[in-house]
Amino acid sequence: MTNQTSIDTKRLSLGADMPADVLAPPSAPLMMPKQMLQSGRPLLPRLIGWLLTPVAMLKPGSRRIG
Amino acid sequence: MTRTVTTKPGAVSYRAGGARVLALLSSVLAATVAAMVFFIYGSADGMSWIDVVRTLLILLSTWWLAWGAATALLGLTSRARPVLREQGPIRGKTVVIVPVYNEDPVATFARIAAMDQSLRATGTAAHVDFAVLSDTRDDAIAAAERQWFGRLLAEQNGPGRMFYRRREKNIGRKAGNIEDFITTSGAAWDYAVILDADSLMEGETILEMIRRIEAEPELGLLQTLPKVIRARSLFGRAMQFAAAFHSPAFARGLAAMQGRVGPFWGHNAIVRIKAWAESCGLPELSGRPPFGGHILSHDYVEAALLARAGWIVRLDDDLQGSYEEGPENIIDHAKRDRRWCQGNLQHSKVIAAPGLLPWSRFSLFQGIFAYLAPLVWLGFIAASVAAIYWGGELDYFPQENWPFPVFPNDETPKAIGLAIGVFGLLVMPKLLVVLTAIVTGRARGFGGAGKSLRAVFSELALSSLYAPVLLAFQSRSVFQVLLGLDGGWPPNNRGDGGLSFAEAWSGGRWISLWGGAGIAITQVYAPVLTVWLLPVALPMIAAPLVIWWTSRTASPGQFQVPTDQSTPPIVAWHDAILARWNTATADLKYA
Repeated sequence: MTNQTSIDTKRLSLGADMPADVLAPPSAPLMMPKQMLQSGRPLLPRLIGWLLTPVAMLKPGSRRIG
Repeated sequence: MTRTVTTKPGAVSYRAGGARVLALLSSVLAATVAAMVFFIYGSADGMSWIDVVRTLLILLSTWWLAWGAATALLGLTSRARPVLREQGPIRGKTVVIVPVYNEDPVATFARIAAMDQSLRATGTAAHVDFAVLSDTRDDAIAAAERQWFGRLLAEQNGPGRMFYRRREKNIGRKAGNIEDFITTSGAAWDYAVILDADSLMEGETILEMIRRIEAEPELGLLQTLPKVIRARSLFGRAMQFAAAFHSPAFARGLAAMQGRVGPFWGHNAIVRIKAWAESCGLPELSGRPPFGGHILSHDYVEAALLARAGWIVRLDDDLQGSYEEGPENIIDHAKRDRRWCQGNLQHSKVIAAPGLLPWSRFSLFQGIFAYLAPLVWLGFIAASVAAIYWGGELDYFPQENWPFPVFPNDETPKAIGLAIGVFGLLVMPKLLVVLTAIVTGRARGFGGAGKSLRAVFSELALSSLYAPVLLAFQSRSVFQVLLGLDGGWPPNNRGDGGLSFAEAWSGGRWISLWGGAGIAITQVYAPVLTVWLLPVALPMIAAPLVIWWTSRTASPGQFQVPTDQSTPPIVAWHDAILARWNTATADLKYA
């Protein structure tokens, strides 16, 4: 490592000169499916689930509601 | 290869369940008692509908305070969770992701250089790459990013293990930036350490996180508790002190309650890429911003989705060597808070998502309520003024033909007791934290017992001064979001943070106006309350002064934190690299 300005200038131009595909991360695609976050369920079952949530919350990981 | 097993499977669930019951019951009990006391006091001169409203508001706000206090108490009485960690060589490949958005490339890439040096200094063989994911819109900054990335590559021998890419369109903001990276390159690594542009992590901490996630195949995300560094202003130092001194107790309490359903704070965390890819593809929400569109506060949602898919999400508060920088003045804090406010309120569209674990829903609810709580307090103040205005004169002769006056019961002691109780919920956790710190010797890192006590009381006084100003900013944010105004995605200001009085005046004069109007209305319609409201109204009236004064550089040694006494190695490395690079920049500009 050096802190000489002449070398720094050369180094600083390195990234600018490199083509983007050389700098870019490797191509290794991975599927990332879109998750369901909004449901069209009727309000009443959802409200009942909501009312039960505090009860279920006391047992971590044991029940899913909603 | 050996694996250290220090806990029984399932033990965490029972512990978490007990902690939740305790916190929930104690906070509900405290809120109920406060509401009952207030109701007796408020209805002493006859019950009206506004007394019921005020009682409900007291119930909500006291529960919120009590919940925070219960979390801190749990934290002070809990021990660190035993963890699994891989003892043998590290097998998996890790990429450290640094998303950037119009950041200073010199400071950001110097952080990467420092973390790379820190990793090498551990002498541990591990495959750890770095990827800068640029969403920068400013072409001049993007050009500088390319230049400085070249320097980073050359100095750290980075080609093939340090990567840079810039998106043409920043769809989905930070979450979209990471998603784009995972879908194009994610399969090349097993784990990703997600950072912010201002994050710094010791190499040893990164390796420890990898060991922990390797040891538990069900662990999807491991969050650290980052410490705030490099604060200079009075506001920044006070926040830094509070985060360093008080946050560990709150984080330990949170960790005790969360079980497998921990938080993700968006950075300074490691994720299992397979888990992330299969669980965290975020859809656009229906409708227009601010509630529809891309999810702003994506981290809470990603944590909930990982937990929904059965992955463990955990906060390991024992992990040291994790750092971030914070806002240096109230205006920058308010800008960041505006973004968080919109993001958290947007969670109202997500909270009912099918299959979420109850604790995930509760975490989302907490995030939403954190921004509604100031409105509850404001509502209580407004209702109290209205109660006196509409209450009218007391009728001392309510019975016809009865010559003697009937005086209402004097419930003043109850009111005073309630005020002391509410104040106690605010202050008691902090006092217990300082007492514990003195007893355990942790206070030494903060300058000793005397200095810690002084700092805690100074922070209490200072935060009481700027709390009404922050309350005003938060309330405005909530109203803006409810009115459908999108806050956009302003870049973070990570500069010096000092404000001129003109800047403070421009940012805070509307608060002065509201504070002045509020106290004037109170004086006209409910003069008996004027004195009680002065602690809120006066800082609001003086908001520009408060904003300007707290942005000034703090005195040396004020709000001392352990990192003042001994600079963490990673911070020292970053300082040295940054100084050298800045010298080169100055030389180049001069040439």
